[in-house]
This record gives sequence, C-alpha cells and structure tokens, in this order.
Amino acid sequence: MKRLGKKREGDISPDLTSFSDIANLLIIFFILTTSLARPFGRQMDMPSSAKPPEEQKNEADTPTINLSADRITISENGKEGRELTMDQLRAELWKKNFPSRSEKDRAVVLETSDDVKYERYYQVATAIAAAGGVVAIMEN
Amino acid sequence: MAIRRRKKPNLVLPLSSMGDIAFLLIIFFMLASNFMKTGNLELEKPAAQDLEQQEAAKASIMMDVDANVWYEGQQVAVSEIESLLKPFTEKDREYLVHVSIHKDLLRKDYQPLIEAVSAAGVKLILTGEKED
Repeated sequence: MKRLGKKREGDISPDLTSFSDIANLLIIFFILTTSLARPFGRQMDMPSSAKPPEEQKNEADTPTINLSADRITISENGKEGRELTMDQLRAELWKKNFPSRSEKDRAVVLETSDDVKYERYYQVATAIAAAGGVVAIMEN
Repeated sequence: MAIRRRKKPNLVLPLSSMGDIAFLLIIFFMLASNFMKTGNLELEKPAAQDLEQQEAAKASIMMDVDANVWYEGQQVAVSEIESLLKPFTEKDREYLVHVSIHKDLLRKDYQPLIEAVSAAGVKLILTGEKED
C-alpha cells in the first residue's frame, strides 16, 4: 500500500521574474511607436460646402482673396483687387476685427488658381483663420 | 590569535521593484501617447506662422506626396471621407479631425479633400509646421 506522505507545504507564490522582462519589452515598443509632441495647426471654420457659392460671393462687402502662384490680391466692395504681400495681407485681415462681427460677416472668399501649391494656400488660409475670419472656398 | 574569515559581500542587486517601475512606465505611455501613423508616409507638412499647438485628434487624415489619402492609417478614396466621418459627427459635433497634406500638392488634389472633410461637419484642424 502506498504510504500517504505528509503533503508538503507548497510554495504558492507565482514566478514573476519574467514579468519585468515583458514590461521592459513593452516599454521599448511604446518608446519606438509613440510621439508625445502635440502637432501644430489651425482650426478652420469653414461654411458647409452645401451652401451655394453665389450666396457667399454676392455678399457686397465680403472680402475676396485671389491667390495665384506668385500673387495675392484682395478685393472688396466691388473695387478692383489690390496686390499685397503676405505680411500686408495679414495686417489687412487683422484690421477687419472679425471676432467682433457676426458669423455671416466673418466670411472671406478664397479663390485659388490651379497652380497654387498647398503650402501657399495653407499660409493664406491659416492667416484668415488666425484673424478670426471664416474661409469660404469657391467651388468649381 | 584566531583570524576571522572576511565575509564575502552580497552582490545581488535587489531587482524586485524593477517590474513595478516598468509597469508604471507602461501605464504612463499608454495614457500619454499618440501612436505614429505617419511613420512610413512620404509627407512634408507646410510651414506657416499663424499656428498653435493642438490637442490630440479623434481621427487623422493624411494626403501623401502622391495624393493618396490615408484615414486612420488605411488608404481610402477622397469620395469615401464624408461617409466615413458622418457617423461620428452625428454623435459628436465637436469631433476633432487633423488633416495633414503634403506641402507641394496642387489644388486639384487638396481642395476636394478639404471640401469633403468640411462637408462632414467635423471640427477641422489643418496641421503644419510652425514657422519662426
């Protein structure tokens, strides 16, 4: 007959030595795949594209910025467009004091020619947004 | 005179707390990180002066140098963007979307994307690099 021995007091603590190895591997993974830096950008207030462009365009005093690869012109109140540099445009937009206006009166129509690269469009669009304006895109 | 044998110093490092520290670091990374989805994309952001640091986005859309559109790391068509975003904007009007577009693309590429995102009614952030 098998002799029943006294049950050994078991060592019930789990072996945790490999846990720190796993944790270190996870840390390396997170360090390589994450970016803690917040991106720079500008929130764009854009009216819905469902709005007919004529409605945006025919506002008498809505400033219209015409952007081409080498020129920026601004026209308003039916006057002929004036050519501006980027800094002059920025100053012109700040003079309009958009934040004190109603949303309807904050629209700035941005007409872009086909050869305009995104960086140039971006500089003008963010300048309008920074001044408190609402960028109204002209649809084709 | 009896000479006592010198006791050997105990060189074992106490590593038992290393695991705890490592798990605390993991929790920190999980809470504070944004996963990079642009790692393998060829995309150079435009530079502008009037930019601010932005909060983390709920979704990100990218247009690379070849005008391919990437929504949350998946390649999609521009025509799909509005329908992909609509379910989220119906629940949350403040749904924040970051849009990054390669700086040298032309209007025929970037304008349809900007129109599609703004038509979905999201809070649109155009991301770029801060110019000094």
